[in-house]
Amino acid sequence: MKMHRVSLALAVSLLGCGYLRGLFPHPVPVEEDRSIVFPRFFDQRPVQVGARSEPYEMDGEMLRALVIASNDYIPPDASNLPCPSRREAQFYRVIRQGGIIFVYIYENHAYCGRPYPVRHSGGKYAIGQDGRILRRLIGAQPDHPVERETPDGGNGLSAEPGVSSEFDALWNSSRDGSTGPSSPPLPPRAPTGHGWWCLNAPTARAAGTRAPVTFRPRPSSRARRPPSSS
Amino acid sequence: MKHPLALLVALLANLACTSTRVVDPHVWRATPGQAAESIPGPLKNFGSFDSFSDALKAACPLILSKPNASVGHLLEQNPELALRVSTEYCAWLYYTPEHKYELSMLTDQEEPGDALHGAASCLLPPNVDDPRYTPTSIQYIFLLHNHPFAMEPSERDIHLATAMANAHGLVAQAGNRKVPLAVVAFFSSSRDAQHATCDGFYQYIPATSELLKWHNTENTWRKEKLGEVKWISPTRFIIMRE
Repeated sequence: MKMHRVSLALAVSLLGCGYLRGLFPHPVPVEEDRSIVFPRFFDQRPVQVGARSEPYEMDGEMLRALVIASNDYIPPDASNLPCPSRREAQFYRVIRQGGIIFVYIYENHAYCGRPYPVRHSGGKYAIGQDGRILRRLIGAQPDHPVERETPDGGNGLSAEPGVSSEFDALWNSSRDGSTGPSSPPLPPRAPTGHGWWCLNAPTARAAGTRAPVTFRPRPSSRARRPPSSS
Repeated sequence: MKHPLALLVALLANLACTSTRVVDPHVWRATPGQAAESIPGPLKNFGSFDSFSDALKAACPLILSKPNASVGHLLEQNPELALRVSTEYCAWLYYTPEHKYELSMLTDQEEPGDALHGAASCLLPPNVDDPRYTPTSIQYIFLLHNHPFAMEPSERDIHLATAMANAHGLVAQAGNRKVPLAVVAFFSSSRDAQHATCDGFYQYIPATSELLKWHNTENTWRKEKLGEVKWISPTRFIIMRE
């Protein structure tokens, strides 16, 4: 009995000391390999883990990369965080390219009942096969130097700033006094539970591309009734 | 005096804690701890414009001239410092019953929680309070701000434009033409810390789903379509590149 108590106490102590967390130590040394270019995380339709009842599987390197990135972005010992900064209020999007796992952690603003995110961007991580953070970008940091505008033109057509010819063709082209296209490009109304809706119908997945995977916290009673953000 | 040293220490501490930030007459901030519903307008000495294009041409250099509105010059030397000092300013461009485009005051108020990850964002109240007009007579055209790192519109920009289009309408009636509500992000690619040139802006138009990049080279403006935003759920989107 005494031995059992000692074992229990030891286990609790190890947990309290973050021994298990030590399997994926924090903080992980961060390198700044500027030759690494992050993929565009929003150019492909992601596969949402857990969206269906079928099983999903990931290897240990993928799990380790997610844990390392997550622990770096939101330190495990951080407490009393506002809702948008909490671990469960993020999306986790991953793309594996060669020997690098790219992780993008960004706000799931709907979890906190907000119509739009607090921050512009989250954290982008490039994790090597050995678990090192090869590159990290936080917030709006670009992954490449800002290109200077050149006077010799480049991309684009000359136009008055802010004018959308596509919009004008639909809404301002009629000469008979009508007030817009017969079938305006208004979005379908899709209630989300917070009074907001999307502006466009869902579209088909872009063909020929490897889709990133999004890990999303499972809906819970907290998701339906978000905690205070104060 | 019994404790002159203690008094001196208290005085110095008080001085150290006193904000020395110069108040910019263009910049408005809400009362601390309050989420304002309106931002005052119009911006004095900015002018009123017959076209939104002219208003954009005037607003771009004004907003980028504010302290740390562009930090491209710091990126290579000290990216951490660039992230820390970068400041976003935002304002509404709106259309008045007198058929003019006007700018609200600017604000650099940050969203709560920004400090945790060191990323600037600007908290723009959803409405403009222009005492000359009734609130319902104002048409909301562009949500203007700057991107200190000259980045493309962010997830937040896309969602914010959607939220504001839901609040004010996708399309505004401005005189005899219709204008789509859009989010606009000015950028500078200048390396000169003192003179951030207006090199263009990004524009996301919810009514057409267009994601545009406008280039300004020696006052010649060119439009580049980057792609279209497609919503795959009420809260998630992808960008279909051109």
